[in-house]
Amino acid sequence: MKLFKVIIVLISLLTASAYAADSSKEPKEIDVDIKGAMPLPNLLNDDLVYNIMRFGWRHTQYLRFKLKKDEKQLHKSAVYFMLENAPNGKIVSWYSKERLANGKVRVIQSYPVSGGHCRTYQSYIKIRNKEKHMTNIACKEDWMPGWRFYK
Amino acid sequence: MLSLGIAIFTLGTKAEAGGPWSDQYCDVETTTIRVVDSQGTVIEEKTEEKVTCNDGAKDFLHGMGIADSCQIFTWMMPLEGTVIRQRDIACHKMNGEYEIVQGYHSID
Repeated sequence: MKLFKVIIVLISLLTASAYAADSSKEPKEIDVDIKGAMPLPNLLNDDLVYNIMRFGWRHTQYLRFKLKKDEKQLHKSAVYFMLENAPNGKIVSWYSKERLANGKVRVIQSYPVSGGHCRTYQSYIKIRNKEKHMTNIACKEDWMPGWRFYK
Repeated sequence: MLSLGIAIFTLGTKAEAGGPWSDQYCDVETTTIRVVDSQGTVIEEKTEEKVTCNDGAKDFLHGMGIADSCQIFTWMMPLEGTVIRQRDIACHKMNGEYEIVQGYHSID
């Protein structure tokens, strides 16, 4: 009987630790309430936030959707408007007039780096019933115009 | 025969008019009309003031619950060795979010 109780306690401890490990995947240390109108963002590795951002604007920003020319421009404008003007957590959206397509972006956190500042943000695009989202980092150096992206 | 010359000077000053807009787009336009003879002597001078507002579109957006303000914004985008200034319009919606307005993108 004692052995049975010990086994029960051990199983409980294992279950509790597994749950704790799983809940650590939830967002943490972010500046804003990120629940709501968009899916929860996938947080990037903390090491990335101080990496050098290599890329200019790339097609990966369109989340592998085949967007029309106008939709690409709207998404790009939304990202740049968000980076330049929107406070953390504020959603910037776009809608296509031609079909069921829309996108949303929001900054998750902002932080200074040597010689500039960076913003981690979430992009979301929905075309009809299909939706995708990703988390990305953009940095702007004081001496250089424009933003550089992690991906 | 007296010759008459009429000069019109328009001066604009901003006015606060309340309502849903804390800072309305109204101007007080001041028009000064001077009547002068051929020697340049002022015969008559009168000033008229008129308030003109161009809040129509903004009132519509606000009244319909669409947006409380819209703004043109620009950003710099490096492209093939040069930096291009791009322009678009974003509206601050009544729910607090921003929305990019389709069809207003342009490049300097």
